[in-house]
Amino acid sequence: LILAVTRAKPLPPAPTPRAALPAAALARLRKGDAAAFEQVYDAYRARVYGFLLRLTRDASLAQDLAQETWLRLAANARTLTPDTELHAWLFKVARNLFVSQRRWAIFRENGLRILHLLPPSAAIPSPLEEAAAGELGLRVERALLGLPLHYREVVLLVAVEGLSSAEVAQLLGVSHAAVRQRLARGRAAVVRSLEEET
Amino acid sequence: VTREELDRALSRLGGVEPSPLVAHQQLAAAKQRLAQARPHVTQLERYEPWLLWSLSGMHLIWLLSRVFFAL
Repeated sequence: LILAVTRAKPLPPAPTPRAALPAAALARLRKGDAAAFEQVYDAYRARVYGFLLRLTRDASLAQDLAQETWLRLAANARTLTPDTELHAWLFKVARNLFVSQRRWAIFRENGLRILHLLPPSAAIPSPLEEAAAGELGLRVERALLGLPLHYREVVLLVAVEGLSSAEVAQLLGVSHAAVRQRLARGRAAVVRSLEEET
Repeated sequence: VTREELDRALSRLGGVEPSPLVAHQQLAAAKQRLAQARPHVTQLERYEPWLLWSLSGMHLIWLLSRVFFAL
């Protein structure tokens, strides 16, 4: 394990959340180019993991789902269409994996909490705590994690990840109006939670 | 908290880096899967050689039969 850590080449710094990926990278990825895959991975690894971490509220589960998301991209890279919006594709796969694992969560340890049948733990998963910038960041993370899932996923995709509400409507398979409504209610719930804290 | 302040705070949350070891393992496994994934071929591309050989064979048999009966 120690050897693997020391041999692992240092990761390049992740670009800013909304940094666009060069169009040529998608074309090369569709041909199965490993360097293009690495470029996509560097651009989106933190976003995909962060999204899953906030969705699952469980670091090890988020890691597993992120791994599966990247494997799905590798397996399907050659079948992507030239007009694929890669960020939306990745979030859709990640979210679908989360939804399907929830069906089996009841049989696993911690399943009730993942299914939201128990109140969420007050503790923020440690990777989120480390990444949060300042006191306000921590409070917003806490408020976000306390949101019901159908509001949380919309707030995450639109307000955190910067997808358009049309993209989110397509990704979730709901109407545009439903996305707007969930977003407004989610925002209001976060504000309420922040105000109750103070 | 105003809506603008909240949106700013939410957009600042951003991504979360996985640990270097996890990232290294994820990337290695995904690149291995990428190398294993076969190129995507359409049904026509898949059966085209068979189709061409079958048509050529039938054409050859037809030509030979014509020659045979002409003799």
